[in-house]
Formats: sequence, C-alpha cells, structure tokens
Amino acid sequence: MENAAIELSGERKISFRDRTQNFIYTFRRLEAKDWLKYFNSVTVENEREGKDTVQRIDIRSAGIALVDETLNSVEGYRVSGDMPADWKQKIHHGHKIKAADLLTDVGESSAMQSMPFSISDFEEIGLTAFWGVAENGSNVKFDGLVHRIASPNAEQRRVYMRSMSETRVAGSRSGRTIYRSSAPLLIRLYDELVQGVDGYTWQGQPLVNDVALIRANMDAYHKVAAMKQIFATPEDEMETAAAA
Amino acid sequence: MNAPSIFVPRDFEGIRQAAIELFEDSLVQREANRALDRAEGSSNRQRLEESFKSRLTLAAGYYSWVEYLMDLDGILAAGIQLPIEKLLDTEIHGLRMLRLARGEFSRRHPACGACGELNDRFAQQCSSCGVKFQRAKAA
Repeated sequence: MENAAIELSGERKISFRDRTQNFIYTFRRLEAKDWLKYFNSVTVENEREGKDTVQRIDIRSAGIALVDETLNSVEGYRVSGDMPADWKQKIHHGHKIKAADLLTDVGESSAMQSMPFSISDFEEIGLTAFWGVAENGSNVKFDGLVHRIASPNAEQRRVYMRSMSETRVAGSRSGRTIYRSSAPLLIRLYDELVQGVDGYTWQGQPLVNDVALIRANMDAYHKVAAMKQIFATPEDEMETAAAA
Repeated sequence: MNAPSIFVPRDFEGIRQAAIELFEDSLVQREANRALDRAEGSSNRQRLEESFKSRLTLAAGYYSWVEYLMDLDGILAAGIQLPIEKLLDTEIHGLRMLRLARGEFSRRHPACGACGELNDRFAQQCSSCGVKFQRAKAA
C-alpha cells in the first residue's frame, strides 16, 4: 500500500460479510458536527454496587444514530421492486452496529509502537483506520497515519484534566457518575497543536504541513484518537503487563 | 424520565464532604499500611486487611473533581501564577471548599507535637510514636 493515502473529501465506503454475503455501505463525508453528535451521544457512567464499581459504556446507540444519519447507500441486499423510502429503518440492526464499529475502528499504528519516544517539540502519533473498499471487496486498512502534534503546554494539560474531572451525578450524591465527552476539547486542542500529518489527502492534495487545510478537513474522529494518545499515560500497559 | 442530575463542580457542599472523606480515607489507609506491616506473616493479616474499609460514600465523580482541585491547589501553592480569568468560578469556589475541608480535617486530627503524625483529637496517645498527650484543663 505504498504511497496510499486516505482521501478525506467525498464519500467513504466500508464493507463486511455476514453469512456468505458481502455488503458495501457508502457514507457521505463524516463532518466534525457528525462526530461531535456521536461523541456526545456516547454514555459512560459508573456506579457503586456493593463493594464493586461497575462501569457502563453505551457506544452502540450513538453508532447506530451515526450510521442512520450519514449512510448514503448500501449494496448487497435483495430488494423486490424499488428501494423503499424508509430503507435505512429496514436494515438489519447488527449490520448497522458492524458498520459503526468499522467507522470507529481507529487504533495505534503497529509501526509506531516500536518507535522510541524522543524529546522534541512535537510528538509523532501513528494511527490505523479502515477507509475505503478494495476491488476485491475487502476493507482497505491504513497503517502508519502520522500526526505531528506539538507538546501541550501546562495550561492546555490543566484544561484537559479539568474537562476529564467535570462530571454529573444522577439522583443523589451517591448515585451514578456520568462522564461527559472530552471530544470537543480534544478537537480544539488538536487544531491548536497540530504541526503536520502524513497519509492523508484533501481533493488529491497531500495535507502534510498545510496546517489550515488539516484543521479544516482532518476527520474529527482521527483528531480525537491522536489527542487521546498525546494525553495517554502508560499505566494501562503496566497494569496489563502485571495482570498477564 | 431521567432522574435529575447534579453538576458536581457546582455542588459545593458535596465537594467539601468529598474532600473530608478523601482526607479521612488517606489517614485510614496510612494507619492500615502501618498495621499491616506490623502484622506481616501473622495469621490474622487478612482479617486485618478486611477491617480497613474505605469510608468513601459519594459517587466517584466527586472524588475526581476534588483530586483535580488538589492538583490545582498544588500548582497555586507552588507559586505558579494563573491569571484569574483562566479560572472558572467553579474552580475558585471549589478551592475555597477544599480549604474549609482541610481546616475541618486538621481540627479533627491535630498533629502530634513530637513526631508530627495526625491523630484523632480525642486520642490519649500518638498512634505513631506513642507519646502521651496532655489535655489542657478547663479553668
């Protein structure tokens, strides 16, 4: 996949199989407002139950709403006669969940995991994502999508910590803690801190160091994923290693 | 219908309570660690472990906000200047609640004059160094 890059303008396709059938979903461009609506619909709550704390995360409802709102067309379904006007409501529920999972399947690049951390004015974050469908019908996976992000200053870190600590509690003071999405802040911080990217084009033009173009057109989900890595602590990995 | 929810940074009484509980809890944890060290290898260590329960009663959101305020308080205490317009009123009032809670906790747990360990205000002797406390007699 040398020289391949994600084209951010225009439609976005994903594909999946169920039983022996292939399906291709075509979405309109997912704008920042679509992703903000998605992030604001994700619910993360925790509640004490006896000695334990139970965390509940609902991303499925938000994912289904995103698919309903942005899906332009589908291929692979048998239709008798014309496509009904309410075709989106008739799509298999599990297929919408699968489609949302693929749209949001953005991870840390395997190539970057072995990269040493360096002391510099910016960090390089590597992401993976599924974007587009190959001629054989399979999803195209991009690895090594690079975001060069300046190190946040103390004030930006403080504002992030504040945002992560501001919660609501349902019912009484000992009720459920409801966490709000930090995505709007992460998107804002990304726009403040981004220095450049590799692996993305806008209308055929590589974004590279065109910060204004990156701010305006980078996929908001990728902005959030990159910033989450900027603020990530290695605790999780240490805990995983200890538990293994 | 969804139950009404409390925006934690605006629940100042809840913040004060959460801060006191966190201070009390850290004291209990410190005492627990000392007792567990003393009971190393003893058969009743597990029973002892179970007897030191966390006393936190509020939703997790209160403690995460108080921990954020403690960090902010630490930044300010270190002499780092933050322009007042950068702070939200919830942070300013939250810091006041933290200070009130700290004062209340200090009154409940005066420091031992000999070793500095915090004790219960009615304690007869220091839980750490064992020094006997003298009480001022009422005139």
